[in-house]
Amino acid sequence: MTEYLRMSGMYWGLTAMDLMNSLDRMNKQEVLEFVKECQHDCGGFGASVHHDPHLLYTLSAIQILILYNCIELIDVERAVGYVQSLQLEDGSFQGDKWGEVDTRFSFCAIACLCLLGRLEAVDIKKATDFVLSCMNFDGGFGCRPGSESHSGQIYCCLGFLSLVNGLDHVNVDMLGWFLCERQLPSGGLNGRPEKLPDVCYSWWVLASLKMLGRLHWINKDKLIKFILACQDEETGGFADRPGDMVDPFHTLFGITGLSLMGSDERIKTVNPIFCMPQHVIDKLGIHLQLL
Amino acid sequence: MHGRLKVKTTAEQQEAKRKEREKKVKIYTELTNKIVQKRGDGHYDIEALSLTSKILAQNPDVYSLWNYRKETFRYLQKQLPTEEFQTLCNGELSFLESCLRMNPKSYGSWEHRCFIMKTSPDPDWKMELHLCNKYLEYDERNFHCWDYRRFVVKQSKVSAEDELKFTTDKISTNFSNYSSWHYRSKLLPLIYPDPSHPMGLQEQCLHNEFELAQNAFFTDPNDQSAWLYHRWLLGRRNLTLGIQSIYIKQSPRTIMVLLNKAAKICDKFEFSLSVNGTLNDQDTKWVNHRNTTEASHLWILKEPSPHGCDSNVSIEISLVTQDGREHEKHVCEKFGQSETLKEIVPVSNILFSCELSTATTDVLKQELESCQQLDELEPENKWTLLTIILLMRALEPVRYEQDAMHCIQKLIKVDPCRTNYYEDQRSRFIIENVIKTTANQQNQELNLSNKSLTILYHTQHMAFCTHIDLSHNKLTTTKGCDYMRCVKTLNLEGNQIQSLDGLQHLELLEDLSLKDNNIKMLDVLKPLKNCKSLKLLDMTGNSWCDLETFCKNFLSHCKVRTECFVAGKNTGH
Repeated sequence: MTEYLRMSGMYWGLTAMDLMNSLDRMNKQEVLEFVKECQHDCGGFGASVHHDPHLLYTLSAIQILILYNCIELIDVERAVGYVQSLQLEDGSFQGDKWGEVDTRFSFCAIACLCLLGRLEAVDIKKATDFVLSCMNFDGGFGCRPGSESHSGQIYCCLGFLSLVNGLDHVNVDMLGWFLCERQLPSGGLNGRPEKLPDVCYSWWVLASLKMLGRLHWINKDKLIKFILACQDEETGGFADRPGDMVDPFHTLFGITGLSLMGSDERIKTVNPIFCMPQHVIDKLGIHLQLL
Repeated sequence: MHGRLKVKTTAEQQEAKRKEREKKVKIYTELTNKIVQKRGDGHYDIEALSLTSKILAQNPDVYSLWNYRKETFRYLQKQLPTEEFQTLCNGELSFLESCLRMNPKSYGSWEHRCFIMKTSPDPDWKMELHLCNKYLEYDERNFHCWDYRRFVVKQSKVSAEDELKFTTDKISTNFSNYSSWHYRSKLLPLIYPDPSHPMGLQEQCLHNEFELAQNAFFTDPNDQSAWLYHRWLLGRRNLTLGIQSIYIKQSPRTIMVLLNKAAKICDKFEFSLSVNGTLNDQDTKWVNHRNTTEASHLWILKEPSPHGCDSNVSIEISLVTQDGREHEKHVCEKFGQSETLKEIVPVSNILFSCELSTATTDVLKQELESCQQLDELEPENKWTLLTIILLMRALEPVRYEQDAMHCIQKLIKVDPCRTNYYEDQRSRFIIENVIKTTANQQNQELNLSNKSLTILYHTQHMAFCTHIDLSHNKLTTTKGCDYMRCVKTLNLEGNQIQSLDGLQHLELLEDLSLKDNNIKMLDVLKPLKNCKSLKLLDMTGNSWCDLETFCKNFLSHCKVRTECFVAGKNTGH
């Protein structure tokens, strides 16, 4: 009954496994067959079989294939065409043909194209102008022009800007401060002012700080303690906060947060923009900007 | 997936749960199969709506089902008479309300509501605004609802003034108002614009906002939204791109232009160069401080023309912005020395707020007093301390330097989690004050030693310095040093440097001290390979050995000073 996000769920699980040096415990064949089945004629991917194509699941599908070094299994040209078709006049991207616009989709689009080596397929300048139009008084970014700053959106916009070499447009000190203020007395991070801490922000906020060259503005020891407290001793997974139910989403981001801080030798290095193992990204020769 | 408490259950309870889940999955699967079949057959009817609503009511995130509903609505719009279709739309809005009641944060529900409102023949926008008011009562921070509200406001042309009043009401009645303050920051420039003011806002409006923010944080000093908003009020918008300084050197022939902000050539601007009145249309290749064409403050042109830099020649440089307009023009002529530095705009105007009006100065001075009083009552409140520092920086950064440093120390005690942030800000203030008080001349010597600097800021303002002393600080990298394009002597003794990235662009660097740092590996020294002018390198006090190979291969022209301690063995050359 979580079919509607299955593709992303698989990406979360597989990436976490690879970072823990355990990818071989997953059924590669099954995964690849499933991914292939989910590509529609238009080139986009759905969350699962019989689910409509959407940028979110197109990115997850491509990430999975890149992880397994099997991108040639799908119709790459059509996937590029699908992403291309979703850019609108003002440079923004809709998530699918129904028109929802969100900076998350700008990131998904550009990340897809970078992984496929086809960044030139869309109008980068317009796409950048749109993302920058979502910048707010606090230096952060929201979903659309006028939307409130949110760490998840900030991660997406910074990831986008890093891939198009546009981080210079950011007010680094202002945004870095907004991000480091996400750390609460518990050591955990929240997504925006006066909200509860959540392990997934260990990723959105930390990766953002890494891109801005301000990772040291967070107290690492306290955050590590918080993340580890979110691991459930019984199941081994991570929950959003200590004592809650675990799931693959929070498990991935707990692991990637620890990876970014280099706190555990057993976890591989993660790339802060793609949230994929660094060794996988290295092979692709993608240019990314880190301040 | 969020906020679900894990409750331990017995084996019996777990088995009962499993059976229940199995039943749910069976129903879900049957329903899904029916829907997929129907949609595959191209049937868009009331039954489609009825089936999909059963799943969506429990789980509004199954996006493909909302899509099927949209397809059905599109189809029925063509089949049904307007009145009937309107009734259908109204019914959909009710259904959506029940979904939102269960889950007010589902992207799918809010997006579908937008679709229905755009499809509806006679949409009732007032009702939608009322819905937003209701949901913002439940949760003032629901960004889905705020975004939907902005959609409604745009479609039904509600005035910015009305919306501003809405935020004022929200702020005066509630705490946790960040979303409202944010919305204000978007509305004010629409209602009270003033392009001549540093904030882009009319001064009276700005003063009103200061008062509003003050009232909020003096009423509740722990209301961080008001303090955060206040910080924005103390800042200013982006500067218009302009030239800060021009530097001309005869031999080797070089022109350097320092801009007031980082910009990318051929994207945001171009230079137009004339020598003795003749436009230089040669293939002039300007590069930035890193020898690329990415965004930068500093742009360098080598060998501008055969007679480009002779002392009896006049050089005219124009900045041409994106729209093709010549933005400004500067002439440097008949300079006698081998190098000339012309400061177009005083550095202070770039680093600090432009002259504050008397009225604003008065407002800020009064705020400073009030904050200082508050600090006495609540010494543990970090927001007060931070705001005191920001006010001092805005009013008289040099005069208040010691007070600000004192406040930073207190801040670190009160909010140790963000120590690194505060130390970096302290470094920034110190550098700003030193730059401000040092007149901008060529062959400038800059002394920033023994200042506990943890990071370098504003290094573009060090572009024309020839002697820079950064010894005895807490720097761990040479980030920012790439702007020091005229430096000949660079003293980095007594820091904690582990990386020399940035030094590779310093072509004129002759004398470099890295004494007593943290350099441990050969790789770290790689950037020095490109320092063609390097004559003297002090590596004493780094836990280093095997410098010989590196020096022999890459720094053969350079005299290297070092004492290597390897398991007690002491070799010096």
